[in-house]
Amino acid sequence: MPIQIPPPANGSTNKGADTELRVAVVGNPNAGKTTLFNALTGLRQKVGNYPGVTVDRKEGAFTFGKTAFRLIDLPGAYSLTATSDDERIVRDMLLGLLGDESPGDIVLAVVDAANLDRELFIVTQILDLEIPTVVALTMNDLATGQGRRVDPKHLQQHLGIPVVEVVAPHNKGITDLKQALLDVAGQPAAAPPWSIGDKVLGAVDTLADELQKHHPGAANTRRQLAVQLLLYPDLEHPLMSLPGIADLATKLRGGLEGEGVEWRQAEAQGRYKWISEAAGGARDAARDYRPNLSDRVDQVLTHPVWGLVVFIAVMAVVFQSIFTWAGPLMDGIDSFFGWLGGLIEGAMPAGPLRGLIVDGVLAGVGGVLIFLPQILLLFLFIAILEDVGYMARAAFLMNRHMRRAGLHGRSFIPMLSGFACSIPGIMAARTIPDRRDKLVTMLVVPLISCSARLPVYALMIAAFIPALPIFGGFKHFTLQGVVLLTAYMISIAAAITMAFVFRKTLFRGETKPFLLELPSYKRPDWRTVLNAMWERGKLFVTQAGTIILAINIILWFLLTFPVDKAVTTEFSGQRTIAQANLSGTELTDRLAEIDSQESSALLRASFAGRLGRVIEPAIEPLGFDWRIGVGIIGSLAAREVFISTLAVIYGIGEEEDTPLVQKIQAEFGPLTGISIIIFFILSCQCLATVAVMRREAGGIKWALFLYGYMTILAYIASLVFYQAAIRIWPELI
Amino acid sequence: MSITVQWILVGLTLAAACAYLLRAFVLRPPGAPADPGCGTCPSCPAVEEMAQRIAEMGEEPAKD
Repeated sequence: MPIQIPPPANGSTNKGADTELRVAVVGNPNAGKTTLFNALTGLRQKVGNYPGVTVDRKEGAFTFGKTAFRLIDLPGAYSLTATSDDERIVRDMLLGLLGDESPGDIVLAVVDAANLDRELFIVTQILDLEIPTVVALTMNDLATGQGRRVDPKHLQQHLGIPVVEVVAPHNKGITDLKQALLDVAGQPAAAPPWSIGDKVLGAVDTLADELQKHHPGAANTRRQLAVQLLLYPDLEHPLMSLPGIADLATKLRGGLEGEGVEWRQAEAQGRYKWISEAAGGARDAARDYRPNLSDRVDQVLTHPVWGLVVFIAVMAVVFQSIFTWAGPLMDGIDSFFGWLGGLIEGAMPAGPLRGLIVDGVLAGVGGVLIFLPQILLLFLFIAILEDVGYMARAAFLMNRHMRRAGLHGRSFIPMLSGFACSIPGIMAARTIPDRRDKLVTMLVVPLISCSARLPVYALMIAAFIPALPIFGGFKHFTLQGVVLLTAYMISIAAAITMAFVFRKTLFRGETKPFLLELPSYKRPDWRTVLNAMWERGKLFVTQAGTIILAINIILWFLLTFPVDKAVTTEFSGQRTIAQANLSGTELTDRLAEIDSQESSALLRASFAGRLGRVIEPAIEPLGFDWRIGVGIIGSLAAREVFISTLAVIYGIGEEEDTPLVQKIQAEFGPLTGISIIIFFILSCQCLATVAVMRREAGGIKWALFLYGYMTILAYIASLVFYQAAIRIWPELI
Repeated sequence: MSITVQWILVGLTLAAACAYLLRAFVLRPPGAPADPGCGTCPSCPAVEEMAQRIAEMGEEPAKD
């Protein structure tokens, strides 16, 4: 269905001018289109949306001499053969498919000199339409630095239209560009002499003749439309539904195949052949071009094998550093909370408030805040890798696997953001145009290990995985770092696998292609890096001081009350007997043993203990007891609560300030620890994620599906692991 | 500090914690964040920033 563009906004008309010319601004994404648009129009802009699609429509205006220009900043597009909403707008606008909206009087094609060949592709398509066109050549300084300076005069000669070099941020060339726009008005461009091949051209013309019956208009536009309908059968096209067109196109393609003509690549091959001659002639140093350092580095970093090796090595260093470097700071935080607890115990008489502060608040919140250094380090590394340009290379590497699994290229950023938090990741999926692609992304983003899972992994790894060196002499690389890396790799693999499953079952269909730009490498901007680290750290501390604090206060109450009188009476009797019969060290040990048993019995009789024991039969096959069950229930509000719950459980009734890691080592085996990690990798223990899913997916159905499938997946994975592991390594239970 | 005072303070703290959690998860006004900085605000800067980053990757962002 043609898309209607509203009439020009009042704010963008030019009063007092003799004539008004409409200029469509076209170019590849990142060609510098918006910067140039801003330089030409200043603040005289109006932003809106194209009806029916979520694509920005930006208009601006300027007056030059006595002529007013109204500029329409079209979305970035690589080709008029549209594959996305953005490109469809450009195609429909320039090919007259937008109802009453004309293609414009002039096209201003913005071309990045550093990527000249690729950027000229859409220019040749525009020239075929014989619309008056001006090329604004941007980023020639960058191309010069790469030894590929483009001579605008030579390019102008080859293209047959004005080419003006501009540096929009410095307003250089803007007046010349305005003059060129004025000069070119009413002078149609000449179609470039590229060749699609005689046989394909014959088929295109046959289809164009048929099209004339239904779609009157210029012959050159019809030919362009015929090229799209004939050579791109998989693309959505509004004219494909015209009577007889689809059948004729299929018949013509069959005829070409019968003659052995490779029609699929005909347009790209023909255009690029001509472009390479035009661009080659226009480049001053084309023959002297050598790959620069960035290109050479990219040959390794984006290589299917070596790129993956480097990626895993980089991640291994990151995760190992999280353990090695954070250790002293974590010990410091632990000691601080221990000291604070001791201070309060010394200053306050025993009672419920002291219990709440020491066993509930300090043990719980302190138990979570210990992990702040690890969170800060993780985000320091992610921010550095992103700022130097490495993450774009990682996206390129992952895109290959993600595409195979049916994930859209735009899914990478939501998934990358999932390492921080699933919620903005799910919200970023808004930018994916196709609903199926969007839903698949939203359903798998929560599988990516968010920062709230890191404390759970780190605690279990510290408790059960020895810090054994794994590369001989490299004592800094230990098994702990490898296990943490593995946990993250499992989460990525799980997300990609589930995307594949969803695309094969619930959301069948083609995944649209995605063009990825690799930015130049640069030194990290430390302000950006530190800011990213600060923001995550602030969020973590805020959560610890709000949600986690509130939950711990309630959990402490639920774990402390009611106090079972029968239990206290029984253990009081045991103390009396011990004091009557034992003395010295024996008495001290026996009393400590009685205290511990009493705490355990009181916990089991508490509100939370009773609840935990209700669910215990369901989680026992996973290696979990009722205490872990209580932690899992509490962690629904925030995953970190799992840690604080364990800290509260093991803090209540404890006289000694033993680190949580040691308490856990004394209670569980390594297999339970790993089973907990697996459960947390795959489960959706986050109510906020479920709530955001409900809002973004437009209903409770997908939110419940997300929670349900992840919980089942986590349960089955932990069950399979634990049941297999206790049979293989019974000594590790 | 007497045990009675401790009990009163514990009760008040528990009530405050319950009120906070109810407000954060159940009784929050439409559009308000579930908890500070979690990204659930309608105009979340984290999401805006991501839209920008997606644009820089190779395609223009399409905003809802």
